[in-house]
Order: sequence, then structure tokens, then C-alpha cells
Amino acid sequence: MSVSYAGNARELKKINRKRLDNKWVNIIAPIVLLFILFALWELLVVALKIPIWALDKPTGIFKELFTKFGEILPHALISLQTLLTGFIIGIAVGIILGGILSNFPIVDKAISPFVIFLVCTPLMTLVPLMMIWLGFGLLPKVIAVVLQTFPIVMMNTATGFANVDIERKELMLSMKASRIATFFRVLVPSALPNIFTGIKLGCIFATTTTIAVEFVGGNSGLGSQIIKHTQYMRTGLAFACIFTVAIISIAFYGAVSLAEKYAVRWKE
Amino acid sequence: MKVKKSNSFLAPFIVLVVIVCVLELLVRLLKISPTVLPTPSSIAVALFVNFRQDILPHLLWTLRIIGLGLVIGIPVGLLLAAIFSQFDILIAATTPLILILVTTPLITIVPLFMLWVGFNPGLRFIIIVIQVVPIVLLNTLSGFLKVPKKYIELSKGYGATKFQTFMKVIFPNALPQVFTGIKLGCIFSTIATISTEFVGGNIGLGYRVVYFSSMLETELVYAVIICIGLVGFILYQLASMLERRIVTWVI
Amino acid sequence: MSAAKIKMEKINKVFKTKRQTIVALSDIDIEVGEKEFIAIVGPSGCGKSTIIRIINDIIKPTSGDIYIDGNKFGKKVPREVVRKMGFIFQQPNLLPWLTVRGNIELPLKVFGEYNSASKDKTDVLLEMMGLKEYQNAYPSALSGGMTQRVGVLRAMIHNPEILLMDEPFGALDEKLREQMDIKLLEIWERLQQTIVFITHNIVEAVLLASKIYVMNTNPGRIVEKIEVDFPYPRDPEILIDPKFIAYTNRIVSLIGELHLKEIK
Repeated sequence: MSVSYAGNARELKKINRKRLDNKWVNIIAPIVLLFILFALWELLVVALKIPIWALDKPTGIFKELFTKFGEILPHALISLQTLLTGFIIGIAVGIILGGILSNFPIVDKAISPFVIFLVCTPLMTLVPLMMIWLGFGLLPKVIAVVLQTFPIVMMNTATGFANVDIERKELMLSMKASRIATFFRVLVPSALPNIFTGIKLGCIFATTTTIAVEFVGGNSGLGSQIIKHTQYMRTGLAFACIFTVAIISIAFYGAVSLAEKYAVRWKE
Repeated sequence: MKVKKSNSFLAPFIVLVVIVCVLELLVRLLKISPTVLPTPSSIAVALFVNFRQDILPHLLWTLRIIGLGLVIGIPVGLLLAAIFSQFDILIAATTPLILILVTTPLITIVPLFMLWVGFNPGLRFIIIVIQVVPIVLLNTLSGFLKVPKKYIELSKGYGATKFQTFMKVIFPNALPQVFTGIKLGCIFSTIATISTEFVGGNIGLGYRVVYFSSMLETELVYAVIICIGLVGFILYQLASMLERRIVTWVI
Repeated sequence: MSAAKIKMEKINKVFKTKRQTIVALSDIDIEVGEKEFIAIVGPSGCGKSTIIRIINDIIKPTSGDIYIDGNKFGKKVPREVVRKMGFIFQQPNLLPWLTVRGNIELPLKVFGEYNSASKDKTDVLLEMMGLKEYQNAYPSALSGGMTQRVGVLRAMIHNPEILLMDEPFGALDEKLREQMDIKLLEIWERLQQTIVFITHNIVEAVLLASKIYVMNTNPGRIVEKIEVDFPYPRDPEILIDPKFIAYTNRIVSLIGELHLKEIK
């Protein structure tokens, strides 16, 4: 939240293009648009007489979502479990490795192509094999999520720690601050914006991978349910699961964004 | 300060050789079962022997889908961003929705999508487009909107038209962010394509992974996974090279 | 003669990169008496910033000795001694994630000396610079002049005996710079620190300092030491005094001369 101090010119370095100043517009406009889109969807299905097994209308989907909630919930919880476990381990590993890596620029240069390779390989491809070795439980899925999440967090964290302004470090040197003091007082706050970028991307990778691995194996979790319902042509129910995934993803990303806004509140 | 190109290839290459040798030794010494982790050499052999027949057609197919998706998705994303940036109300209304599209795994739509286009796998690229457009759109729009005020004022001071300001100031300033979007688009297009091939059909590298896994031909599974990784990797690096050529002013 | 507060004897600094060897400083001899206000002037790249970083042990000299309060330090200056110094950077260099108050109190926290009395100390300093109402603002909300004032306060919170200032007012406009110069002299009158002041502004140097070291580049070396014979407290009126103008002319001609020699 910016407070303007009268009487002194602000040195504005970057300014977001003037959004419509009315805060309410920013909240209402997307909601209105969403309504319009759903209404269009509803109309299209009814007007074009699209069969339910191909595409259900939004009212039908929401009805399924509410009536069949008891069926959906356990799977949602399983997906959530996989997601949270994999995500938390993934970002922890990513941040720690990124911090270590930033201290050894030579190592960084040597392994960065491999890190990129890891990011670009859909790790769902390993899941069929992993399920043969490790069974159909939580473990292979969590491993895949961790493996797909940590590299991007690591990359962004390493960048954050590597790009600390030298003047900040000189400031600490001028006070003969210990390495630990410098780490916590300067390096971490300085890297935090980059780290959060990595975490937000990690969110997206983690949710995608969770659903992907549930496609591949087992019959627990929202991903597997989407497959099942689609196979039985119960598109309404399938969409209900899809909406549930959407809600989980948005809530997740939203939580991370809130944390970011608090942690980086000093930025303009 | 010029960095010799040969230097940047040497270190990773050495690491690669070291990793492969170490893995080879470990697998042999620890007698790891070939169904879990075959030796790198056997993977390489399997790859070469079977490439022409069992892998190449699927590789080309997957490439086709990804390529088509990117070639359509990236320009559409850029165009939409350019249009949206002109209308504040559109920005306000659509940004949260685009964010939703980006954070929600679009692979959730894949099974239903396959149901609709199942008999024509050539249409799978549509879902890649749906995956790529929001990512490119969001990042590009973000780049367009975060232009330092002083650049706009400079442009106005010269009496530039809106279009000129856009082409000469806003767009170049947004390019780093645009490329972030493109690179992420490359990554997610690979993921999306492989997803479609996992879910159904009998063509594509993803399908091959499922097939070889079920036949316990583990060497081939790894070989195909490496191919998939290389596809994504090369796409990403191509985008990076293009970025280095075009965005020459960022260190 | 009382021992010098700071003494640099035959200081050399060589920077070695893969491609070249740069002699940043060559045979630097500097003496600063207790409570003395000295200035170092010279063209860009002459190594003046390097000198005060060596004093503060941010950079190590390649050879030579540093004496602080008569004690010799070769390559390392211990913490208790560095604690006697306050460093003011060219760019304000405030930590963006700390408030104005947080930034000013930072040295106390790093030195482990933050206690209940510290809050009042900070209040006094904020009053002195007229920044009391901005104490909870983040640096991103302040103007350049204000952030630099905070930088000065931060360097003084722990009552250092020595102030090292690296072109602190270089980024400010003429009028503000003059105000800050006068303010600095007032603070110095009151707190009696030993000050080493780096600047490329010759008028500023003659106004503030009692002794000026004139430097040149390639290699960075001291060309002349000038004693400025004006009593303290100094008035801005001396700026038009003919003696003052003579000093500035001398320095200008020194630096200009050297540059002419280089061109030839």
C-alpha cells in the first residue's frame, strides 16, 4: 500500500500503467466477464442441443458438483496430499540447493543445462516405471512432483542470490558483519522476490504434475477420476472434478501470492 | 567482456561424461536390475537399434503437434496481448481469468478433449494452443504494462503517435518478459503434448513410453524419455538463442 | 606531535584480472590527525574510493601498512577498530526492505549493541536531519536527497570516531549539496569526528577540509598535499575570498596539467 508523503518529490523508478483507479472495477469486471462466459456456455449447449455426454452445461456441472460432493471430496483430499507434500519438499530442496549453488558459480555453469533438461522433461513419463517398482501409493507420485518442482525453484533462487547488489555486501563488510548476519540481513531479503517467482512457478508445475501422475496410474486422486468419468461419458461429473482442480490450484497460487505480498511489502 | 563459446560447452560436457561413466559403473557394480535402471550403454544401444523403426515416427509426430501448437499459440498470445493492452477495461476484466487459466493445469481438459477429437489425432494441437496462449498472453501483457514512466514521457516529448510509442518503446521494453512467456510456453507445450499421448491414442512419444513400460522394455522407456526431454530442451534452448540475438541489451 | 589518527604508509593496490593487471594505487602516504577534516580529490578512476575502502577493510591492500590510533594493521583490521568507523556511500545504499528507522539502527544491531537507549538515539538523529515523520517509510518512497541523509545518519548512529565519506553529496543538486556541506560542518563542530571526505568537486573540498590530497590516475597516486588555511567555523562567505579562489585554481591547474601531460 503506498502512502504519499506530501512536499517531497517521489523518485518513481517504475510505475504500473495507470490501472482504472476504481478498485471496485478491478474486482467486478472479471466476475462480470466470468458470468458472461458461463452464460454463453449455457446458451450454446442448450441452443445447439449438444448432448450431455459430449459437453454438459454449467448449471448441470454445478449440480453434479454439489450432489456428488461426497464422492469427489476424498479424491480431492488425496490430490491435495500429493500436491502439498511434493510441493513443500520441492521448494525446500529447490531453495536450499539454489542457495548452495549460488556460492559456486563454476558448478552452476556446469550443471545448468542439466537443470534446464530436468525442467523441460515431463516427469510424468517416469511414473509408469516408478509404479512398477514402488507400487501405486503416494510415493511415486510425490517423487515425480518433487522432481518436477525443485529445478525451477532452484534456478530462480540461484539467480536471486547471485544478483545481490555489491553495494549491499560492501555495507555489511564496512561493519565487519559475520557471514551469517550478512546472509540473513542482506542476501535472503535481496533474493526473496526471485525466490517467490520461483515458488509461484513451482506451484504451477506441482499442480500440473500432480494431475498428470494421477492420469497415469492408480485410481485415486482427481486426475484418475477425470479419466474415469470421461471414459464413462459422464462429462458433467468430469467437469465437476476439473472445476475442483481449478479451485484448488487457484487457492494454492493465491495463498503463495499473499505470502509474497507480505514478504516483499517494501517494494514499490 | 566476451565469453568464449567453447568454454560454455566444455564444463557441462565433462559433467555429462562423468555422470554417464559413474552410472555405468554403479549399475554394474551394484548389480541393479535392468528393469529398474539399465546401464547407460544398454540404453544407448537400444536407442540406436530401435530408433528408425520404433521411435522416429513417433518423435516426428510429437514434434509436429508441439510445433503446430507453438507456431499458432505464440503469435496469438502476442496479438491478444497487444490488443488487450489498449483497453484498460479489458485488462481489468481478463487478467484474473487469464491467471486462472495459467495456474490451473490445462491437462485436466485433455481426457475430455481426446474424447471430442479422438478419431482425429491431428487436432490435438488445439489443446497445446489453449495451454500456450494464456502463458504468452499473461507474460507479454505484464511486460507491456510495466514500462518505466520516463520512457513514455520521452516518447511523448517527441510527439510520437500511439503506434510509434508502442513499436519503439513499449514492445522492445517488454521483450525480456515476452521471452519468459515463450520459454515457459515451450516447456508447458511439451508437457501438454505428452499428456495427450499418455491419455489415449497410439501414436506419439508419450504413447511409446506407456507401451514400452507395459512390455517392461525398460531400456527403451528410458531412451524415449530422453528423447522427450531433448525435444523440450532443444525448444527451450532455441528460444534462448533467439532471445540472446534479439534482446542484446540485457546482460 | 600527537600520533596521527589514521596513517597509510606506502599503500599499494593491484587488481589482477585474467586479461590485465591494474595498478590502482601506487605508494600512497596519507596522514590524518585526530579530529581533522581532510579531503581527497582527483579525476575518476584515480583510486580515491579504493583508499577509504582500504581504511575500512572492505578491500585489502596489496602491500603497505595502515595505522589506526598508532596501532599498525597489515592486512587485516580487527572488528573493534572497524567499529570506530562509519562509512557513507556514494549511492545512498539503504537496504530497501528496512524502514528508515530500521536502516539507521542497522549498525547497532550488527554490532550487537542495540538496547533500550538506542531508540532515543535514533530519535535524536532523525530530529537533527528533519526526518522524524518519515521514520517508518521504506526507502522506495523517499527522494534521493532524503535517502542520502538517512545514509549519513546510519553511519553515525554508533558514535564512530572516524567518518569515511565517498562522494556522499555527488548526486545532489547544487543547492542541496551546499546545505548538506554546511550541515556536515555543524555536525563535525559538535561531534568532533575525524573525517576523510572524497569528492570530485574542488570547491566543496576547499570549503570543508583543512588538508587536501590531490590525486591522479594511471597509476593512482598522490600528486600534492595542500593545507587549507582557513579557520573553523567556516562561513559560506569564504567562497568569494581571493585566498579561497587561489586554492581552487591551484588544484584545478594541478589536475588539468596532469591531464595535459597525459594527452601529450
